[in-house]
Amino acid sequence: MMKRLQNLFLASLLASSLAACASSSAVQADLDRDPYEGFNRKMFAVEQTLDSYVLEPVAKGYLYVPQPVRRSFRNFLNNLISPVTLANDLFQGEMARAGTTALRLGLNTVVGLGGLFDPASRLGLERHEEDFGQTLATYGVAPGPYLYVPMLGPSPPRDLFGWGFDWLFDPVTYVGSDSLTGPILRYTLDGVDARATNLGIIDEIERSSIDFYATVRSLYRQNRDSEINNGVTNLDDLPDIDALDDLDDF
Amino acid sequence: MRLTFQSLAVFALLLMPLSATAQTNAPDLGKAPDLSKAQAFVTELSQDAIVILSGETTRAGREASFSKLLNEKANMRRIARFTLGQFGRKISKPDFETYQALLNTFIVKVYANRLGEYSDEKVIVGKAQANKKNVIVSSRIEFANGRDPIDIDWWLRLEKDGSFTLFDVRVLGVWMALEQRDSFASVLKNNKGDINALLAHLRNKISADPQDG
Repeated sequence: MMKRLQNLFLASLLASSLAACASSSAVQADLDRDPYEGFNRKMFAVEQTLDSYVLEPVAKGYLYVPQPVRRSFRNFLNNLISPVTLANDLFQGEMARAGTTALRLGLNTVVGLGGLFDPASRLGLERHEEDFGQTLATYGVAPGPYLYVPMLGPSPPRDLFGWGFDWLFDPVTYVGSDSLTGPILRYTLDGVDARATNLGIIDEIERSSIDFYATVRSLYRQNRDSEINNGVTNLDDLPDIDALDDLDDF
Repeated sequence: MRLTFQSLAVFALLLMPLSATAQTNAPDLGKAPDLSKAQAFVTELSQDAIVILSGETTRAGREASFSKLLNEKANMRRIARFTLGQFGRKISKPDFETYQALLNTFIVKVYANRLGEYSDEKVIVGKAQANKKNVIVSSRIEFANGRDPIDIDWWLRLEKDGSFTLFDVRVLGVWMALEQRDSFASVLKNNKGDINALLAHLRNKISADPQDG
């Protein structure tokens, strides 16, 4: 039953992603488009309510766990997701990065006691994350229209589909009697830990934003582009500001 | 790797007086920007910022020093123009001056506090790359408390007199001025392009900010 549900879920994601691909050239023409802004803003409001009643209080409670324990748990979660990164390093043909991920996985699992410690970073093997949404982007697939999904956050069709596809490479999918519980539990714990780590900065950004919805949209798009480019800054991608020089005098 | 960055930064600092003199004597705009001078600019700017963020104990003091630093090192007029996007071409001069004044206060309040989260850190200045009048200097912030390091890019602009000014800063892949431009554009769009709506939003945020703490 669960298996069937999962297949259905994947199939619907694939369908929505293909629909997005079909209209990708139109979408690419105007990346700032947010055709479902009204709907997205409602979903964003739902998320903020859920956050203030559930996620934020839970995250605040989680901060009572001693810092070294939280650090180890974070390491463990990072190690657990690394097969997904490895698969996508390979899909992108990034062999050197795949090597780093494989070495990190081996070292942290064996020497780092199942991932609780991160000896690989101390050896200069820096962690990075990849997902199938990024892989599709490197193949030239456009993100599609911006979508905000409560509890998932900004999820344009490409990234939503990629997220579902990544479950195939996620070891927790194959643990336990069904393939949904593991990933959902991991995703939830990951979310609580991330929310707790960033409590201060998220509150500060919300407090200082004149339009928090638009700020989150901008943060997501920019951060996503940066991830797709593996953090490399390309000067040619910067907005052209030469014209501003002529506007100095009225 | 860190050693290389550090020696680069030190090297850049040593070079700075030399290149500064060279630039004042003969500002040659046809030539590519001086990368080591750009790195030195970032080294000095980031150190000044850390001194302010960790040294000033009151919010008012931190904001005053941060404001002074920004006015010295950043071209606030260009940032104001940029953050208005397409709308910048339509705005009247008095409205622009009001916007500029509010934006300066807003930026100081936002970033003096957002960056306050990043205390107890060390900045390692990395490589620089240039394209026409734009220079991007990479850097990495390391935290004493074991938090993951973060990469920060600094977008500098070569001015007519040969000096550099700060235009934008990228933290975790996000350009700050670009983020503000997106938010401002959203407010303008949802208020039929009425600049007074944006000015009111800025005033609200500024007055809602705690005065001291």
